Amino acid sequence: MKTLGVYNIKGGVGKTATSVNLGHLAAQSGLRTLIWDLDPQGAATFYFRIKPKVKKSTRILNGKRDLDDAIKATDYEGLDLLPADFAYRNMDLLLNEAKKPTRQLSRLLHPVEKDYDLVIFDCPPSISLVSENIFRATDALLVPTIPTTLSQRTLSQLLGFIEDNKVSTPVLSFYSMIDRRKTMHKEISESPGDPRCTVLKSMIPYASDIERMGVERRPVIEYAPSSVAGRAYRELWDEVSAHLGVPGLTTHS
Amino acid sequence: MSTHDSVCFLLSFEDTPDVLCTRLSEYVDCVIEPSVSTSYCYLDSFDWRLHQSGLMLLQLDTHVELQEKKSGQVLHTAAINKTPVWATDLPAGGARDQLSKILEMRALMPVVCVDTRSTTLAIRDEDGKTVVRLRIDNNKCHAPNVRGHSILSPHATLLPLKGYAKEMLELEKILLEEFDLTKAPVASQYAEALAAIGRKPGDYTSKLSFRLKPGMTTGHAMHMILLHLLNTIKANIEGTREDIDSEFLHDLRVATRRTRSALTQVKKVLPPKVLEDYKNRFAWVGQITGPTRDMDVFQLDYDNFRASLPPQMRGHLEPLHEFIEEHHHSEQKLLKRRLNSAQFRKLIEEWEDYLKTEPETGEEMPNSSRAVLDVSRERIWKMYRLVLKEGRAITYDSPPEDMHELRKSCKKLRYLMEFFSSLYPAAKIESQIKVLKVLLNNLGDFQDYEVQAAKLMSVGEQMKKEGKAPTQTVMAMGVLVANLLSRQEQAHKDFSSCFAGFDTPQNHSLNRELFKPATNPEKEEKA
Repeated sequence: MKTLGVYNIKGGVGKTATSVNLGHLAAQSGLRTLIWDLDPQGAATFYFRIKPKVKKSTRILNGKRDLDDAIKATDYEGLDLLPADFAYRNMDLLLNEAKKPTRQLSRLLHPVEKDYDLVIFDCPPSISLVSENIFRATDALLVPTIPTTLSQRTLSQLLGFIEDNKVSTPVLSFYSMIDRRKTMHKEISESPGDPRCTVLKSMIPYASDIERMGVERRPVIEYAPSSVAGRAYRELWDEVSAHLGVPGLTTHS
Repeated sequence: MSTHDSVCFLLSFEDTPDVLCTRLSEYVDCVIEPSVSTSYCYLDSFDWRLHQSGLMLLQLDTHVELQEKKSGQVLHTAAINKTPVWATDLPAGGARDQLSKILEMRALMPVVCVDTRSTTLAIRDEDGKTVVRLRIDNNKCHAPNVRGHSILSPHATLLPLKGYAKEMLELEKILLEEFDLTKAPVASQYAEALAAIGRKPGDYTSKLSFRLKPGMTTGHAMHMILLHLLNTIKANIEGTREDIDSEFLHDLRVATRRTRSALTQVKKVLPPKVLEDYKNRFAWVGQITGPTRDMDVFQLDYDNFRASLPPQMRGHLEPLHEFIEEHHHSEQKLLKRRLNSAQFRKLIEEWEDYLKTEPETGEEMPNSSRAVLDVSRERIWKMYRLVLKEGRAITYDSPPEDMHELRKSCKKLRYLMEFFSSLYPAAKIESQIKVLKVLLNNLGDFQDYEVQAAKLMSVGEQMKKEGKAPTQTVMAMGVLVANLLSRQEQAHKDFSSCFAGFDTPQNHSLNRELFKPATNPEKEEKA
């Protein structure tokens, strides 16, 4: 089972749209995929029309039963979701024993290890103990970055943090919400990028098709398969799947 | 990725997706999703190993699905680019691992092919989220490589979605109580497709699956046994001819050997002329199938042979591999010609005609009209006593021929017990066969390792003659021969304890209870 963290210190960079669309494409590639919605805002949960039902119990996760009860199938074959409320509430387990994050995360994932080929963590913004643990324990960290000075600065902050804290997880960044009409977007996206991470070639445009996700409550490929945005997510998945060493769409078909 | 089982319902032809969705809309929000046409074939080995293991293997265009028969749950999928014949044709993964263990040396074959038009009804909640799906399948089926098809009754399958068990139960209740639908096992579509092409799961087994009645005459019983064996031979001819896998020839040879054993061991049932004629003709079948079987055994053992060598010698064995492949090919060609010959065809036809006539009776075959239970007791008891006598006489220093003779007697005893097992209490006779098998395995090891070592040496000679035996290969084969002979020696050492496990007072008293004929005391005294 492979794990991918989708993260940015800054909010509103297209992080959840990335998790939802890549999760959907991963499932289409034949990977049994779970999206773990860690963002308390629960946007991924909302996009899949799943009700974030908050249960009264606050006990922490300790077995397959709890996890199984909480996981919901999406409308797409091979793609399940762990809704926001549950996933976030159980992160205190990670927080309590932050010293061994890899072990803690694998303990959390252990009950479903055989059920999934890929787990995508849709992380909350800002650097917290939860996100720090995800940095350390996933196979790769995917960072959507808007090509603006401020976003570049937050990427640099993140990479600095990763460097200072000796995190060895590879960081893959890509440009998100890119508007080629803007000079700054064009210039930054054409510059070589921060050498401390791998800058992917794929770029996700600023597109109304992506904004429509909130209305459609479906992944882009479902309602605009041949749109520019749809194609861009496919290309991004091709690159990410290659980095993770899992089958991509091309390998699958 | 669901933890719940699918639920299947039988539909009538009037229950179209439109009709069902309209009716369901009275209770839930129902949407018809686009229809999908799929074609797939069910695969299994000739002897139904997947069926026996409670599994179904479906071959679709781009992948195979290994499903649990009872729940329909997909256990594993694996990508394919051609019809898989061997488990090893599948990419590494769960499907390949599980199938390898079950199928062993058996090939996969398409059993029945189905064309399905599926329409799914999505049942949604107030947010438009699909919470359960009902798939309606209209199926047609046909036998592999056969034109024309049979139309099967439509089915509906409730497909669970993880996290929505409650919604599924609610819909199941509606379908059962309001729609009055009948549940069907998930595998019923498979069973129905098989029935439509005239097949039944498990319709072939190499086991002796007939049932004799204690009061029937030995003549009738023998005709039944021999006809069963003939059917096994016939069932395996095509697969042997086409060399689908090595088990076809193996089963054909075992059924031939059992036929010969039945002819000679159950005496005075068939007229001597008939007996003599068919004994010789089936001995011929044994002869013509032997060389291909030898090559099959080498092929099956090759990987183990290779692995038994020190790593640096393993590569040296390749010329042996090539030799086996080449000779297997030529022997198989010859065998195919012989199986196509008039001699073989006539043997099968004439034997079948003979066995379908009333058993002959008369002075030359006094046992024919006697009750089979009595005759079987006499024969098994006699053979059992012979095994005891021969076995007890063997010491570590006895010549190997004595062990070989004992093996033959044990095999005869085993065949007799198996032919007539349905006449005796199942648990008791099965336990006796099991005890005998332990001894037979030891004797088999003793002889087979020796025979294989001898065959390997003769293959070495032949390779040399053909200029295909580099020195390193001969040396590697020498190591194999030494290994085989040391394993034979181990079997030799183990014999006395194996025989002691057979020759126990408990075993003897059970054999006595089961088989000892009620004879007059005088006769028994002499025996």
